[in-house]
Amino acid sequence: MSKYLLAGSLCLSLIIPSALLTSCRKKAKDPEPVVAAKTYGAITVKVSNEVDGSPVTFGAYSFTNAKGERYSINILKYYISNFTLVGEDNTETNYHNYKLIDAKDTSTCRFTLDSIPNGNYKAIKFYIGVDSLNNHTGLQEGDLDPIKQMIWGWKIGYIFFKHEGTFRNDTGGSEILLYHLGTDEALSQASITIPLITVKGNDHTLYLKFNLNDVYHKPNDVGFKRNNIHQSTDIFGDAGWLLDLRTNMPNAFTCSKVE
Amino acid sequence: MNKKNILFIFSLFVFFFSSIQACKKDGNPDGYSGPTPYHLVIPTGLPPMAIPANNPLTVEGVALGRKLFYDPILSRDLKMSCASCHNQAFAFSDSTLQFSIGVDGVAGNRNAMNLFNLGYQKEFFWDGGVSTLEDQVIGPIINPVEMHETIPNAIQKLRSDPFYPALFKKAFLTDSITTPLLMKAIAQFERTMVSGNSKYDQYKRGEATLTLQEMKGLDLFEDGTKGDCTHCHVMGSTFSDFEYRNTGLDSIYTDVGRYRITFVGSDSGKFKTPSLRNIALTAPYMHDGRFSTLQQCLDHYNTGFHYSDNLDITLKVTRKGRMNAQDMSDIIAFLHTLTDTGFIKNPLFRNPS
Repeated sequence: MSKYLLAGSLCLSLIIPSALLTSCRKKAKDPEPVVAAKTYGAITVKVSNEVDGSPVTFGAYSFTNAKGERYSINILKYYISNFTLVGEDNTETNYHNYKLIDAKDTSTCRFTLDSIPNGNYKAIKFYIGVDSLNNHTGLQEGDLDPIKQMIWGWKIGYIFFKHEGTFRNDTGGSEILLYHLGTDEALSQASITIPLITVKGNDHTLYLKFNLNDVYHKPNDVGFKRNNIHQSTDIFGDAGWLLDLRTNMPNAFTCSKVE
Repeated sequence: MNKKNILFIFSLFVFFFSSIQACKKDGNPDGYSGPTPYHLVIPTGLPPMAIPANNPLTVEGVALGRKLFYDPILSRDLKMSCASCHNQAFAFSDSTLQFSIGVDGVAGNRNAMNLFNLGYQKEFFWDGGVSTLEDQVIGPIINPVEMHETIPNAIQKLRSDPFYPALFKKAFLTDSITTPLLMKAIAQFERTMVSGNSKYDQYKRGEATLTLQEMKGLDLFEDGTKGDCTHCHVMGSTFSDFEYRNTGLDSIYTDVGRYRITFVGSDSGKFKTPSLRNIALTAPYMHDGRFSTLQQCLDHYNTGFHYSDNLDITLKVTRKGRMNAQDMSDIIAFLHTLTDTGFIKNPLFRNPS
């Protein structure tokens, strides 16, 4: 009996490591191609950044806000997170993503949601910003990595929305425009009805439009002259500005088309 | 236990170790099996230090953090490192400067903090603006009045350096240097900077004796009718509760302190209570370095503090002029026993190059 046990366990000690070795090697290889499951599809979200119908361009005084103030854009970046699909039966699927849209880099202005179960989808929801669970440490990878320059250093938290540029003041002079919106209080959620998407094992594209002027207008008018430099974590920031932008932000997004 | 079972367990061990080796060797052709755990020695008298699960101390990580701490590569002009304002000889505070000068020649508005026993603190900076040592790393790099560098530039410099890619690989088993890894490495080194071998610590362990004046100072330090220091500078291990208090430095604030973080009105003029360990080395004092001597600090708490709504309750109810000149001299003598000369000379914390 004891001999069998000994022999058996010694055999195990030789066989199992070599089996593990093989499994280790296998891990290093590319995974085998998987045949697409037909019960799932994918939706690619393409974001276009515009100002009242014109595509965002950088540097020149190309734009005018609802208050008639001419302005330029040097940086326009914002987070879309926790993108959620709402089914026809009101079931919600949250993709728990954190996507930084950088208007200057069109490669960042699209993302794909995989493994969407077949069905009909009638609406989308997402945060503009980073939820409080992930908003208090920069020790994160991907789009939340501090290398994206969307984080404050003196009071750790993400800048949800960053617009930097210049605007023309009353005398035609050029003044800095720097709006950094953030803190847990500034988090807003867009909830948008879309043309019905029917996923039947196939892929779709959803076109999301962001209108920067709506951030400053819909429905709360925010004039640049009132305060042209604003950081939500700055003690001189007024809560009114933050609340105005928080209210407007979801209204800056529309979905006009799905394919 | 009989022989049979022992043999069985032995062969299980053989199986276990050979399979681990197999995986490690397979994943790393150089035979490097990953970083070695760092054994942090906590001196008797200090509590155990909680190390975050997402950033365990390793020999390689600590060594990397130490190199980064002393390397001006993180500053915009390659002239300034963490150590420029956090000098080991002064318990990692900035010599006698009231305000440190950044790469652009511009002074900050707060006194450089001392750095030791950081693993016991729950928040960092004078106002507690960040909650982890890892997150603390970002601020000084990007602050225009400090290193004034961008994170993308800092990371790019590290990636194109001849040495750092290999060091990050050793510490974190990765080919890619990222911001979180930079944060982790520096935090690891900072957690090892433990100070707990002052004359006072030796006295507590029965290894040294205090002079009569130092003993008198110790009593007065704890005496609620005299020094009354231990409300905030809690006796023993860390000599601070690391809470935020308004100590009556001003009644009108040029720096609102903790309010900047919380936006709670009553937090105006509050700053974090610093540790009193190594206090004789870290002049000048207070968040704005307004006092250059310990005597000035004692004078402030004895008679100098200003009344305001936000003044800490302990000071509100205390009697002005409760200490005489001798009392204060004795307390200062005691405060000098908190100096840990072994810490400021410890070769483990020196510039490694």
